[in-house]
Amino acid sequence: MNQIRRISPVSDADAARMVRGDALADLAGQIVATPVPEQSGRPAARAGGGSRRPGSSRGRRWRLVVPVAGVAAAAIIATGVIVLHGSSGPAKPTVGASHPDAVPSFGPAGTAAQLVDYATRSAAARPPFNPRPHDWVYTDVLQATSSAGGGGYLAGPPNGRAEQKTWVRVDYQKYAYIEGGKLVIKPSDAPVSTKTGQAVLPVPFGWPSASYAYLNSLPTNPAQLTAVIRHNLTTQPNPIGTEGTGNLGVFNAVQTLMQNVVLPPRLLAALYGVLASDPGVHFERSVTDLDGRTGVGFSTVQESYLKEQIVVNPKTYAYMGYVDVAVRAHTSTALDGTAHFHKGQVLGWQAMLASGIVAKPGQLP
Amino acid sequence: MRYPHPGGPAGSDERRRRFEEVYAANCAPILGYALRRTDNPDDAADVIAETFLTAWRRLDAVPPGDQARLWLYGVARRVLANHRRGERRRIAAADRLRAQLAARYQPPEYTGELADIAAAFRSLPEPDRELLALVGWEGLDHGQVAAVLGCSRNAVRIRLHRARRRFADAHASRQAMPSPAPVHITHGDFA
Repeated sequence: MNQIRRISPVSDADAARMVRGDALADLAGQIVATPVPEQSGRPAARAGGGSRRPGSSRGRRWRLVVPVAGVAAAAIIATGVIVLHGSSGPAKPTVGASHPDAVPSFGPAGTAAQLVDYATRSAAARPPFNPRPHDWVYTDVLQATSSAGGGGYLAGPPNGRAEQKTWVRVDYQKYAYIEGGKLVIKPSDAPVSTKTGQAVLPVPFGWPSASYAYLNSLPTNPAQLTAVIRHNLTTQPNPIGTEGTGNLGVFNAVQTLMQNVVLPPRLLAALYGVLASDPGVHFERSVTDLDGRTGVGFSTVQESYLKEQIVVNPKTYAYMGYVDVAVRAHTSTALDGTAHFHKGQVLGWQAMLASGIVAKPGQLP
Repeated sequence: MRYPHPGGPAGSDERRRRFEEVYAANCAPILGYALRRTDNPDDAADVIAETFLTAWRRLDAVPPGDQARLWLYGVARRVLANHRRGERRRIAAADRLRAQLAARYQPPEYTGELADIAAAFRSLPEPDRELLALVGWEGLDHGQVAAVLGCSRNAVRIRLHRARRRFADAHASRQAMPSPAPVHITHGDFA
């Protein structure tokens, strides 16, 4: 097949370089100005009646968002980042258009591709996610516990629940929690930088940083993001696992980030895209989180026994938590002891009940 | 198959926005697909225009995400086949694109070893060429090729195995021949 590749007349990127963005935009503009034959299942007339053809709104100005000349523009085009914007304003999702804080939803996702598509579009319809250093990240996490104890996993049945509401300042210098019904605010107990004298933001395994500046700088194209994750894994290896920089390493890095950081929606959607593009990751149509909520999800089986499931809200596309289950009996031998897991045993169960950015501790999103 | 239109009742803005997304994500791959299969830039421009016109008119049938690209490859393939049968439609909307491609696209000429490979490739039946090209040029896996061609993944696997064998045979026989003249890969008959 390498021989066939060698005689490819032109690559997509080179093809894109041959045409200017205005020609592509011109073609798109003319296409959407053509009448659409009426199809069954679609409304015959737009809201408000009238005979205006779809796509014929006058005064709509098309432009390329990335009007960069030369090679850079071609590269962007080749990766599909050309976006045509009109003057008619943003899309109007079915939910949330009238409520500024509601999450735009495109309906329940029934497939991995739909989840990625809907989450991406929902994120695009939301305002930029740029928390300020003195904003606070709020999380309300419900964690399963076991009367048999645990240690990285549940040693027995998940018969306990522990809920924790936490506020962590974006610059990580303070954190807050509720104790005895009162809000307690404390300085961060994280290691202090010798240069700045301030607490250093912890870094999730496999990632060089968890700052929002870094997270917002990551590509939202799943293929590009996967490449970044793989690169990160070569420089920021997960010291716990031995999954390396392959697909399993990518899955674990993605899961680690979702579990530990309230993520910008656009990045979260891109991470779903990373998972969806992995043939070893399966889309789960129905997963129940610890709070009894039904979601969709992504799963993979590690070490032939451990099914790790990421739970996703099927309508808001938010991260809802995880469920780890032994899909076959397994004996885990480690330096700190030997554990026997039976088939079906829940080894970890967590629900993210709420999360968001607020102005001060004690506030809810 | 009809895919539900995300967002419920489709207003014209929503419909346009969905098309914009499909177009933005796929114009470069479809442009490349068309150019790789015809050395006539006019044809390539018309194929692109007709492919996306089809997508605009049948937007409800365009699957979400990356599946849209495969769906568009399938449409482009049928449009190219129509061109080959002489059913070419000149699309006025593609005039600017046509002019730019005509000015800038020059099909490559292969010499030496690559000429052998190109000649062997051209000697194959069209279905074999399309299979090999979808894998080698578009970089599709078996499942994706199956989606483009509308057959099963297993059928792709078997057909691809045979196409590769025929290509290897053709290439081996070419190598035994005297050095050929420079070879174009497409000549507009690939659809």
